[in-house]
Amino acid sequence: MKEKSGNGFLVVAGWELRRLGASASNFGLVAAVFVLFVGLVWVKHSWAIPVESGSGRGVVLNVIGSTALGTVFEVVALLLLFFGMLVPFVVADGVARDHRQRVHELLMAAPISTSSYVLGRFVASLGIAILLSIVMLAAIAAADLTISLSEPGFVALNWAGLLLTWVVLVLPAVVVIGGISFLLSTLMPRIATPAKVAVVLGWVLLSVVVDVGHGLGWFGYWTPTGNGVLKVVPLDTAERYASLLQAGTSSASALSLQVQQQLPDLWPWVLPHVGLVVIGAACAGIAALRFRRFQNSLGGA
Amino acid sequence: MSLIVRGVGKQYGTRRAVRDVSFELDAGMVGLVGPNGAGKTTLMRMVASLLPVSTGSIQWNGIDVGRHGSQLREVLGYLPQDFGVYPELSARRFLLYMAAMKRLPNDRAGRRVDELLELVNLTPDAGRKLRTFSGGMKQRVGIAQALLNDPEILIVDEPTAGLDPEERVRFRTLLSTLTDARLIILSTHIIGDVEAVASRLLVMKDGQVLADTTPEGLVRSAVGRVWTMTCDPQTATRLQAGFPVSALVSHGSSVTLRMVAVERPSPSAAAAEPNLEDAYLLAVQMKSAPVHIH
Repeated sequence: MKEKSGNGFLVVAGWELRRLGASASNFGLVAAVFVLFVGLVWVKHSWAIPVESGSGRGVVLNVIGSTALGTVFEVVALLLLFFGMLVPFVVADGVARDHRQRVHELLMAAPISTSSYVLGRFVASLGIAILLSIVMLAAIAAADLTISLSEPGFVALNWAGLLLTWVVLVLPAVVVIGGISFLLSTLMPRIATPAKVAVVLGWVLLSVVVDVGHGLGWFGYWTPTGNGVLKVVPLDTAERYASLLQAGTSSASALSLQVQQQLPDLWPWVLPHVGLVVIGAACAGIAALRFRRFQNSLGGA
Repeated sequence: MSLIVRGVGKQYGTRRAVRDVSFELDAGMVGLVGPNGAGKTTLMRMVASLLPVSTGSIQWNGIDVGRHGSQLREVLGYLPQDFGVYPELSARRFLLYMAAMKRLPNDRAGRRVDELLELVNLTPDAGRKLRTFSGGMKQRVGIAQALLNDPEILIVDEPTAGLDPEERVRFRTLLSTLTDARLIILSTHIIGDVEAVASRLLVMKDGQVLADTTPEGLVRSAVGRVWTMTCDPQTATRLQAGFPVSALVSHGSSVTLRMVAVERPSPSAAAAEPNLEDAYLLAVQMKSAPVHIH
C-alpha cells in the first residue's frame, strides 16, 4: 500500500481551487461580475424616483430600491435574479468539465475515491460561486459608495442589513441552484449544457413568472428567489417610513437613515433557507453516490 | 506479480467488443497488438478497472479488479489512448495535480515530479502552460503522470499515435528502461512499436486474442508464408486484391510486392525471410483459428 497524503476530499477541493486560480479567464469572470453588478445598481438607481420628490407609502416603495436603504431589497428583487443565472455555469461543471477536456480517464485511473472526487469538486466549484457572490456584495458597496459621493443626500449603505440578506437569502440560493445543476451535469455529462440552461430557465421562471400571490404561503418562505421577502419586508419598511413622515421628523434622507437602522425581519425565512442549503448539499451527496467512474459505452472516456 | 484474465467479454448493446479473452501475465513488457477496432482499448480499460467486464474475471495478485478496483489503482499507471490535460496549468503544476490525485505526499510528489520531468526530457519546459505544448510533448506529460506513483502495472494505450518518428523512438527507449519489476502492457496497432521492446505479444482482432506468443514465435509462424515478386502493375493489383501485402515498391513499369500467403501466390513468387510485420499481417488477415505459440 502506498503512502497517502491528507484527506482525499480536501486534497481534491484544494487542488481544484488552485487549478481554477491558474486560469486568467476566472479573474476575468470576477471582474465581469463586479462590473455587471455595479452597473445594475447604477442603472436601477438612475431609473428610480428620488426620495425628495414626494412622500407617502407609494413613493417610498418606488425609491426603496434606489437608495442604500433599499439595497437589501434590490439584492432580492434584481441582483439575485441575475446572480442565480450565473451560478449553474460556475458550479455545474465541477465534474462534467473533465469529460469535455478528456482528463476524466486519467483521473479515474488514480486511487482517489469517487466520493472524494465528486464532493471535492462540488466544494471547489461552490466556493468559486460563493466568492463571486462576495464580489457581488463588493460591487453593491462600491456602487453605493460612488452614488453617495456623487449625490450628497444619498443615505449610506447599511452593511448589517446587506450581510443579513446575503447570509439568509443569497447564500442558500447559491447552494441550492449550484447543488441541483451540479447533480444534473455530473450524472449526465453529455447533456451538461442543456441541463444548465434548464436550471437557468427554471430560475427565471421562479423569479419572474411565478408570483407568490398576495399573501405568504409556504412557497413564499421556501422559494430561493426571495420573492416572499418582497411581499412583506418592503411594506414593513414603508410603514415605518410613513409613520416617521407623519410624525413630521426632518428630511427624507434623515428618515431613510432612521428606518434603515432597523434590520429587516428575515427570521421567518431562516429555517426554510437552511432547508434549501440542505437540499443543495443533498444534491451533491446524491451526485457522489450515483456517479459512475466510467461511461459504460463505446468510446466513453 | 500476476495478472490473470479469464474468459473476459464485453458487450455494448448488441455489439461484442471483447469475446472470451484469457491470458496470464507477469513482470515484463507485453505488446497488445491488433488493428483499429480490435477491442484493445476496451480490454485495457477493463484491466485498468475503468470498465466493468460483461463476462469473466480479471485478477491482479489474486484481487478481483471488478470488485476491488481501488486496490489495483493504488499500483496502476495508465496512459489512455485519447487524453487531455488542463491547458491552463504548467507541465509541473499538472503533474503535481495528478500526484495529489494519486495521493502522493507533497514532499515526495515534488521530488517525483522533478525526476519524471527529467526522465521525459521536459525539465526546460516544466514551467510552460500545457496549452503551448505540441502533441508529442503532451504525450510525454502523459507518460510522466502514469509513472508518478511508480506503478507495478503500467498500461499504455496507443502511446505513439501522433508522434513523429524521433519521438516514437524516444518513447520506445523510455518504455524499455521501465520494465524492471513491473508489468507493462503496451497496446498499439503499430507493430514497430513493440518489435524492439516487448517480450510477449497478444494479437487481437474482432474482440478475440488470435495469438498469444513471443515476437520470435510470431515470426516463426510466418516462415514459408512470406513471398516477394516483381511483376507488372496489373498483376500487382490482382495480387493485392487476393493477398495481404506488407510492402510494395514501384519501379515505373514494374512493381515489387512483399506479401503473406499460406501457399506460393504465384509461380514466380520467391520465399522471403519473414519479419514481425509480415507475421502480424499473417495473424490478423488470414482468417485462421486462434493460435497459441510460445
